[in-house]
Amino acid sequence: MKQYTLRREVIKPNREVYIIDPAKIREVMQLIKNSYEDNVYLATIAGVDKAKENIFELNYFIHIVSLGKTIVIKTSIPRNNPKLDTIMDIIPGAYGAEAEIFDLLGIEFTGNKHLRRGFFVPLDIVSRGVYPLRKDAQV
Amino acid sequence: MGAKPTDKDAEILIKIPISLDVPIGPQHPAIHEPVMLKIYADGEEVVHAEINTGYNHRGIEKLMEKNSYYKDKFIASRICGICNTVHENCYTRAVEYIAGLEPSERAKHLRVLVMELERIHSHMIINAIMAEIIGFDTLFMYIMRDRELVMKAKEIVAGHRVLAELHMFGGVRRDIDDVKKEKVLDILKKLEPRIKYYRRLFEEDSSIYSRLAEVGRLKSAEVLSNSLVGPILRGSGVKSDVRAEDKYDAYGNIPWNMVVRPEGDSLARMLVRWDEALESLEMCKYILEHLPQGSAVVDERKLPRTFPPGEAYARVEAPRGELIYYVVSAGGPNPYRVKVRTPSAVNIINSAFSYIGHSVADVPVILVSYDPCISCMERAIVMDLKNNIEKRVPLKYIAQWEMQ
Repeated sequence: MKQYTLRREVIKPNREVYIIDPAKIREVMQLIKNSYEDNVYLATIAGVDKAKENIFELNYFIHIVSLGKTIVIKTSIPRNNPKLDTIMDIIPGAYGAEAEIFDLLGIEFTGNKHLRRGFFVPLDIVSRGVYPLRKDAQV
Repeated sequence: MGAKPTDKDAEILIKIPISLDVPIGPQHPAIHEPVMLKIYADGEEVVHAEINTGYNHRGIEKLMEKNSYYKDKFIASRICGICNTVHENCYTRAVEYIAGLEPSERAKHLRVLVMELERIHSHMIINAIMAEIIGFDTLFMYIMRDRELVMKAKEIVAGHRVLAELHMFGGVRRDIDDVKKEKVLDILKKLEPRIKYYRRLFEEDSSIYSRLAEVGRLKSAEVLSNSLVGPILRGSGVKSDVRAEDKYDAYGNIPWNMVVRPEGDSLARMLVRWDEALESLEMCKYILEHLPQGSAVVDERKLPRTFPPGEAYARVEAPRGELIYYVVSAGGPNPYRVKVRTPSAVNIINSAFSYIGHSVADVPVILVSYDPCISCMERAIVMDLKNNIEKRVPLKYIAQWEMQ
């Protein structure tokens, strides 16, 4: 894990955060899955629009069942080119989270064939091309 | 039907001669949430399942960004009617982590009391619905009657039958006295033999057994890789319960046992719920008998109006599984971002794989054993256009193409 970590932080209460390079997300997920012998599940992915810094921040919350603790993998991608590799083939449970983030925040997960608009967002908003959770969205 | 192919490059044409669409949902008596489960069946066997969402997206996360922390507490508890207390607990704790507030021991015990009362009635309601789905309406009526006892207990403690609204940053909003304590203990005494009776019924009744046992069996590896949580996880033999892992509020001081069953079928999930309801009952009794002295109610006038910058990730074991609130504060009166991940969101959206191979009649049972149906029956003819051969194949065969 060390070779991938750019910086470490802590989110309250005591959740370890590993900040990584977005290009390495698949390798990191595979590493976590292998090192805990599949005894992990992806709790959720939370996307945050940091408009001032011109980035989208993505937080992967991974629960390690054998240790009973949740760790956070944090990465950020540029706002003008919101693309990231999918992890759905490594962890199928990422389906709901990736589909939701694509629909609400407009981040494309390269390689995920199940992404579509209107997963949650009503069709009138989809037709206007609005991603509601972006900070500049007028809703 | 029977139209000549216009695309010359096409090699095959799939004709579906009998297409019987029975779209039950998004509104259906078996579904509590407006979600559509589209089932493709080959005869009686399910070959493909699709879950359609988006019928009731209310934009709560955006709404919470636009409102103050205090208004958000009331919005959070309105996300779900059945498990409203766990929502407000999770949100309240996330904000408390950011602000550095610590509730008193008495307040923590009162929070756990209301959350456990909620778990009992939530587990009773889903078991009642399961009884209704398998055609045992009398049992539905009986369980719902006894559930009213818990609602009464919740009303005595929190002041409201459904939406408790007991939490406030740094404490609770109402305290209980000895009279109320005795009343709740009386109710719990009446309730205990009823829950034990229903649990025995689910374990021993031959018609319930034959409908639930061996149906929707999930291996622990499938459950983990698809991120299914709560009683599904523990019904498949995985020891994971947020109450034991995070020991939030007063869970570290109260003796209780985690319920785990290895079978992984629908019956195991329902029995996990009954056993948990009994555990919750014992916890409620323990809390009432060992309630710490001191003040619990927080003076709301002294609470901060603005909150410092920071991030918090709170987890709570809701009746349906792990509930998550991720709150980002950039300082000021409103949160910058609130992410809510409800247990049903993963349990329903990610569970499409689990219906494949089961009979159509088992689909409602599996769905209800997760919590919330529909069937479409289709058969297909495959035409090889190059060789002009017509072949009848089961729909299962085509569903496998799609996967490849």
